Amino acid sequence: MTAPDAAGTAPILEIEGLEVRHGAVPAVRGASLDVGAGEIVGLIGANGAGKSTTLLTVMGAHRPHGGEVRFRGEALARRRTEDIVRSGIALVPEGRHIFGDLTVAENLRLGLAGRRSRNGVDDLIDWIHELFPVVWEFRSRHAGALSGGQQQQLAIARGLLAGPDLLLLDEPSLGLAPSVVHSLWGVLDEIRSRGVTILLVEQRAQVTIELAARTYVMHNGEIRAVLGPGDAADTERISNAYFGA
Amino acid sequence: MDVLQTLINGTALGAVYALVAVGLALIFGVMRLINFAHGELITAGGYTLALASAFPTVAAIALAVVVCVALAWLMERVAFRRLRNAAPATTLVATFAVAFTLQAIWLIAFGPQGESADVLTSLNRTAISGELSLRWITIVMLVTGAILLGGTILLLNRTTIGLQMRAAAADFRAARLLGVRADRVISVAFVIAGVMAAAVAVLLTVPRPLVTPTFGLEVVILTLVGVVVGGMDRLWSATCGGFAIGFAIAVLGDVLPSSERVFLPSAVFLLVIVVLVLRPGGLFAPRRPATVERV
Amino acid sequence: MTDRLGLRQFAPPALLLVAVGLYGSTTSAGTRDDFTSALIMATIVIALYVFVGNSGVISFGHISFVAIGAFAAGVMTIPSAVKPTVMPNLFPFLAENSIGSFESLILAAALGAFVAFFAGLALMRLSGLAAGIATFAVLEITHNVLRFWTKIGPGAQTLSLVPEDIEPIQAMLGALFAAAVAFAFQRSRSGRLLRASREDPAAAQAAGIDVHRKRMIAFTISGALAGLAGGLLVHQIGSITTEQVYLRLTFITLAMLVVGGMRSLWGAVVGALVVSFLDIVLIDAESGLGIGPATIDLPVGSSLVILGAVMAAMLILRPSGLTGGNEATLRVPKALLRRRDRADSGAGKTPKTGPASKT
Repeated sequence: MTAPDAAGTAPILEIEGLEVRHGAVPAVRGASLDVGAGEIVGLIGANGAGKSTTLLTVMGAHRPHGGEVRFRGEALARRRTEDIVRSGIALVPEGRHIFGDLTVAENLRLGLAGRRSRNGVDDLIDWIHELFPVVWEFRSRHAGALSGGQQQQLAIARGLLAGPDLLLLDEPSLGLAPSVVHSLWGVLDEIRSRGVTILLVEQRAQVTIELAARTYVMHNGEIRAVLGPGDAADTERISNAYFGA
Repeated sequence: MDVLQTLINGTALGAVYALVAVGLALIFGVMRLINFAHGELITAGGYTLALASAFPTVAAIALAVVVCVALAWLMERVAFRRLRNAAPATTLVATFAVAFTLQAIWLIAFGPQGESADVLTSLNRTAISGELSLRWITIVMLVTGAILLGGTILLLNRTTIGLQMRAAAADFRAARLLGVRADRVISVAFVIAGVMAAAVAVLLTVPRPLVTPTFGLEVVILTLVGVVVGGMDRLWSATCGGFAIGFAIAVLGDVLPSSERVFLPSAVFLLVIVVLVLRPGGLFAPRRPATVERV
Repeated sequence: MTDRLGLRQFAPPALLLVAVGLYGSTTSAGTRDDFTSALIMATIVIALYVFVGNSGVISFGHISFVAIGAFAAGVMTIPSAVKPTVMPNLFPFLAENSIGSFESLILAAALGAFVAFFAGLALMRLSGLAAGIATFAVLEITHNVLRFWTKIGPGAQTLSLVPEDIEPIQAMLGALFAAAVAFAFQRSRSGRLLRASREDPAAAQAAGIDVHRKRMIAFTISGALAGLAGGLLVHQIGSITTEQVYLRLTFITLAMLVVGGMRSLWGAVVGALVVSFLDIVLIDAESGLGIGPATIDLPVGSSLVILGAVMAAMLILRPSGLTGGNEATLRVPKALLRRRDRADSGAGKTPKTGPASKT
């Protein structure tokens, strides 16, 4: 399942034979995937396929029963979540998990908690306000008052403020209208062009396959296929992999 | 004037109980842990004051703060850290167990008859006399309560660590995923609880200098009731609940004739049951729960 | 087959109680008292388990029912001639009548059930923290009323001169009765539905289970058993005070249940007996306990410290308790099983406590 990345250097994120269980129930069974530096890589699959669990395991929120996760060559096993964040990975979780009772500005400030250094914060903040104008506009409002799409933008902005090298996104298009998704995808592309690697977990197969350099398809905790942008029209192949034929 | 006096006394005691409530609510917020043992922090503070009676007042108070904070930190490190992911029933009983263990230790160390903490007893003198009679201690309670509560609000709203604590209380996992340091946030909550406990110990030993092994337990049980009735989920509702119970105790104590006073606890607890049955989330809980009621 | 399994799961706690009772009745007077206490503790913890274990809702109020049972049984069995001197303010119908000890146990259980029923009407909608505080309020109200209402009891004074006729055997029978009731309940339809609601009350309600009603049943039964235990208690000691059935007993019985394992009858019995005997050993050590060549001599009062620390440690390190919340199943030697049972039971040779199986 390994694909050499564009620059020919080692992948920034390597997941090898990952096994994760929720109690007695296996959620991820021997999944392997790579993300090369500067790429957008997709991970799609139906509900319950194990995608979120994979991301949360990378972030240290779940302990794997087998396999390994390596970030820039170093194993992430048994490190605390807050330390993993500080090594350069940020997660925009499924459902956004915005702090509804805090203001937008406060939500953003929390994003700074995971920063490794204070350098470049001002530039970053300017860039984020460019990318997501709504975040500046509503900075004093309670985050709970924002619409779904706006909250998603806030969540991504918050994740970016940690200055990550790798951004994990868990179903950012959930509950958003297609036009909003489209502009969101444009934002993701811009983020990538600024040097942030992206691992995008989604249920919406086609738009993800079109965007990503390569998309892994997960079913029942296993990687069933790797698809490229050229496969976006091959609905049969996609649904076979997606639904585990 | 009598009414005004009762109200002022009520507010003063309410302020003290509000401080206890803050200590309980902060820890509950970040750890979903109901710290029955918080009362033992207060008792420890009381015993420290009793043992340090000979020291200059400031030194005795400072020592009490040190002891309370140290004990709070120790509790977290040794006992409660492991309880972070335990079931609510387990944490309730476990902190109950820690509280009883500590009480047994006080009993061995100091005996059941109690020690006298003669710090600041001069505050029992009357400050204002005449139609309105106020003791100094009442004024000190009000002022101290205001300062410490105000300080806590400032800390929570204006500092980074305060922001992180508020976030952790709302959604602990999401906060961690942003890089908020779990250990730091929890330690700060315990330190603040320790400081509050020390302050309460100082304030309560003035009108009641005798420190017994159950000194803090009595206060904490009542405050806990108040906090749950007010609404444990949020800091402000919990603090209001704590204030309310302190206020009620002082006012009812003044208002009820002595013969009726013996059944005061029954009346109060009956009221508690009524409130909880009608509003299980607490009196001031919003219709829509702030977080999923995990307890 | 199911009934046979049931019997094999009831056997371990029952046999343990019987063993303790029989052994206790053969020891000297002082030790006999310890055994009786342990068995009465077991009865209380079983009562607590019937509600807490099956519903998953914590209750700080069960000692109220023990108190009510104890005082009721005590007041009604003091000789009528003596009552007016000890309790001059008593209601006439209480002062003029007396009943026998056995009848007082029935009275105690009935009153326990009655009060639990009415308290339960209000409280069964609550869960978690609210339930904990509300049941604690019940404890406080009961304590307050018993302590100051001299028309129904001695108030703050000690109620004494109660006939002392509970020895290990009687306590054992009481505990066995409680265990049998508890076991019958947890295997009944009500009990099993209640356990189903334990994990997810919302889902259970959506499935049509009347959670509140099931909790009421458990609460009432557990109130009856707790009342019974109170009757046993007062007839063991011969006296009772309000402080004896208040916070300390609440803590100890709750901790016994959690240490043993909240979710099984086996856990309740094991927890009560293990902690009781630990307590006895520790109190002995306070006055110098010889173990082989060494003598342990603990300072007075440290038994409670050690007990508390052990309980806290158990709760922190192994919250499911000593038994993991599982029932113990008696393994019966193959030869004793009927042929058709041999095929599907796969029994081993070891009697008594085989590996646990989940209820």
